[in-house]
Amino acid sequence: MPVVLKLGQKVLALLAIPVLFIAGFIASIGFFQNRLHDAEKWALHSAEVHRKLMGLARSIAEADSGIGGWFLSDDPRFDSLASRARLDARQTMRQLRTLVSDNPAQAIRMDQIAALVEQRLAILDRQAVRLREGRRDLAGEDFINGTRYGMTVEVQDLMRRFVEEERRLEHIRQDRLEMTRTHIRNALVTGGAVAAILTLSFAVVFARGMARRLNRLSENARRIAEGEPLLPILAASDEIGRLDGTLHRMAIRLADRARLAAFGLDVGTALTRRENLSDALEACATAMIQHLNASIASVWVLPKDTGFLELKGSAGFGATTADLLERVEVGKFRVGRIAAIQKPELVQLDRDPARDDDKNWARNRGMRSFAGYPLVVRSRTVGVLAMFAEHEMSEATIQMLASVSDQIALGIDRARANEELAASEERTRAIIGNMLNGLITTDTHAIIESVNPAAETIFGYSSAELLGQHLSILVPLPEGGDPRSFLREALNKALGRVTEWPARRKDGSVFSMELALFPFETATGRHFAGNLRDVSERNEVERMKKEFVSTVSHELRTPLTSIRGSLGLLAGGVLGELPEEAKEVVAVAERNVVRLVTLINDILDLERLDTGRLEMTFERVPVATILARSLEAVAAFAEHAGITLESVATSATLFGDPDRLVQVLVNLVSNAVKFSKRGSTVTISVAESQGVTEICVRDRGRGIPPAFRNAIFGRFRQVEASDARQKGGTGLGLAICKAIVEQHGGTIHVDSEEGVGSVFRVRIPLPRASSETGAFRAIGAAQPDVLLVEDDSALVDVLRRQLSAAGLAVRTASTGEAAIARIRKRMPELLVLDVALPGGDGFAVVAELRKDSAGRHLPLLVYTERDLNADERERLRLGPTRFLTKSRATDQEFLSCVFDMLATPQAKGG
Amino acid sequence: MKVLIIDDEDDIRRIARLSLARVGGMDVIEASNGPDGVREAEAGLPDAILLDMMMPLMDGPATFEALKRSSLAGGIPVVFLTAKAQPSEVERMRALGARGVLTKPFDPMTLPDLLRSALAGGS
Repeated sequence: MPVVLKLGQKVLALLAIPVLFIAGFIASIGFFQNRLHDAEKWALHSAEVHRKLMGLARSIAEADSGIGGWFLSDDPRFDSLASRARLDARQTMRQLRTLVSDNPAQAIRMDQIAALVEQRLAILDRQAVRLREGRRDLAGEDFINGTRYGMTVEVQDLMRRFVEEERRLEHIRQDRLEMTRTHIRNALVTGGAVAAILTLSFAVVFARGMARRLNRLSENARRIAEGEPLLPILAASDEIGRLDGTLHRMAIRLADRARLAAFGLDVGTALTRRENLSDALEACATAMIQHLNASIASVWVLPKDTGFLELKGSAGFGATTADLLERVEVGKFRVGRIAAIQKPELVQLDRDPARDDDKNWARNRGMRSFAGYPLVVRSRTVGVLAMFAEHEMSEATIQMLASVSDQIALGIDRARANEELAASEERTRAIIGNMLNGLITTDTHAIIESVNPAAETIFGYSSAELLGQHLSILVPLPEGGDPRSFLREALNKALGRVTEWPARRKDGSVFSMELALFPFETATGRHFAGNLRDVSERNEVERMKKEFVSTVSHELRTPLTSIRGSLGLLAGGVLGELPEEAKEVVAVAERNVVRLVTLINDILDLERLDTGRLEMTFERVPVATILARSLEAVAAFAEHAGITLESVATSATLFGDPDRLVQVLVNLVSNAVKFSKRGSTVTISVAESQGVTEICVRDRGRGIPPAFRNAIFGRFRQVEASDARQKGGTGLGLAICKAIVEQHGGTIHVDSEEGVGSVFRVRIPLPRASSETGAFRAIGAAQPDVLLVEDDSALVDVLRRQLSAAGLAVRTASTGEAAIARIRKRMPELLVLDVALPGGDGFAVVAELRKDSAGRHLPLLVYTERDLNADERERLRLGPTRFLTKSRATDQEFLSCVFDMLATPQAKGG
Repeated sequence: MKVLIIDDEDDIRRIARLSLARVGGMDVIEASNGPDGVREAEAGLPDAILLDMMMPLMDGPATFEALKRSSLAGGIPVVFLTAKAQPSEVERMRALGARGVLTKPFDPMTLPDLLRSALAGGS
């Protein structure tokens, strides 16, 4: 394993080596310095020894000469001189001894010198002593003593050798000193040079290595920035090497990220730019091929509520739709399983033990691995991404798929939602575009926002001409109307119900339109829609119908009058007796003309009853009168048929239209007569109970089969089709009876037993208990009290004004509950009731009023927009009850109806 | 008894004339429109006038008004003959001052009696 040096360690090494070298170098210089010092010391030492030795010789000579002088001159002053000289000599000797003590050879010599010198000095001492003692002779002897010379020579010799030795030593030492100096000089030069070279070379090597590698690093960094491929990785384990390694890993990561980003971008672009889902998913598959290195890629979609994945996009080798399956059942094959379990799958085909059809299919195409990813939105599978590759794909591929799966899943989900929305919009548009009614939407300021083709046709404007315009362009404002409050008033009148409005076409013509407004909320706020219909044609038809009725009543009656009259005159024999056969024929003609007239009358009556225009005059009338008139009318017919009419005497009274009630009874009795066997009896009876008068007409005829019992009150219904011809009826009689009875607030029904006979029961309620004694106290005293129940405030205003102007006291209620409360407070003379009401509709009001005895008999005028069927009319009955349809009744008709209901009982019955 | 029939329909006039004359034994004069009727009434001074409601130019009520304004014919009782059977219309005619209202089609055998009955006070 190679030595791993960090950059810091390298720098340390770079510095440490020269420093260590310099330290060693300084140490060796010190050593040489020491040696130099020693050498110098030794040189000085030798010189000192030499000097001392000279001093010693001089001192000895002075001592000698002193003693000699003293002896010769006898001058005692030499004593001190000589003494000092001896002292010096001895002192010098001691110094010398010390000086040479380290040199054994010289020390020995010194000892020898010293011994000899001491001998000499000892003699001189002795001479001195003797001279002091004045013993010159004795002193003189010592001069003569022969040792003296020898001693001197010996000392000189010794000293010479001593000096020579010292000189030699001095030379040696000087040489050594010189040499040491040279060494130091050399060492300084060499060491400095080496240190410099060493440091420099280390620095150069280090710097060069660093710079080269740093350059490479910066180059790689640049390449990362530019997205270029990196230089090969540095084979070093220091920081730079590691940094380079990091850069390389970074580059790989960045490349991965870039690939991922590019993949995501391609997928995102495909999903957002492509018009339809298939194209988008095809592009997604292509992106999988390009970015994930797949060979075959496919995107499967799982439509809602089907168990089959559908191939919506594919790309790559062999990925023609002919080659891939187009539908896969959820749970089958790999994609089906992924769809079912909602987990990604990565399969190396060579190593996968499972044997699937699709695997073999893929293997045959050289594929080595499969990767699949479920597309899930809100835990619901919407599809599967699948791909095959010729290499072994890794988990990274799954991660790449994961990165786009949500996007694609949402794309599919959104596309599906869009498709559904588009389909819904298309449906709505088709409906709105093709509906016969006009549909206009506005904002809250009545500015038109949309117009359907029907509305365009109705108004003659194009949609473009209307958009942005105020609604009043189509619906002329009333005189002095304020466009700002227009919509509010329109809403008051037409919100949630059909009302008729004057409207204006582009050409300026004004027509009647039916309009119902309804509000709706969208993301852009509150809007209103007007559902409208041109009813000018319908009104025209209505008008024509009325005209037709009038025509029938006049134009048809006129010729019938002539025919009927002619036949009557003929049959009556006024113009002379006719032959018998002619009489028969004329009788047939007359009978049929009468029948035709009856039929026309019946049809007219029914039409009027249907539209509430059959005029009725209500009054209190004794039932006996009605019976008498009815029986009178039928008497001849009954007699002719051989039927006995039987009726009871009664004091009962009814509140109703006597003519119409007679019409009912005539009809019922005629029917009874018609269907009775000759010789039998038809019985009319009357019963009163709980405010209801019941009139029964009983026959003993063949009875009515149960299946027909309700049907007979329908139009043109008779038990047997041939009855109409045989019995001369129109088939409308019972329908008219029923309608008339219902207009009285009553009921009619039949009980029948086949073979035994039938009983028709007409029940007419009394208006109320107090009506017996002149209930409408209004007359002459107080104003009649009318309760107007209507939620259309505009209409209420109009009606109230009209009714008040006519001298009526009007109370109003705009809801069902309020109506009940007002009635409970004080019973009105007449209740005018709308059916569509907030807070309990008309049906609820009636149901509530039926609960109490007074309310049950309250006169009621149902004034509504609705066409009421028989059942609804039944449910809306109280006391005398009449029905007026708003759009079909003029104000005048409404008023006269109110007055009829209010005034008639008083005027005639009171 | 002399009756003036004012009706624009020739056939109806004829039937009514036959009925009133042959069945009722009355003298009958005729007019086919309002103005003629007024002139005939002033000229013939009948005992009663049977007046059709619906006529062109001058209808029954208008003719009735004209008759009432006539100094000569103003007092002659008028009975309307109408195809409109709605009670309100009958009421209206009575309100105008008509003596009675008879409806079309009529039975020629009973028409004279109905007319007499109307003139006598009941309809």
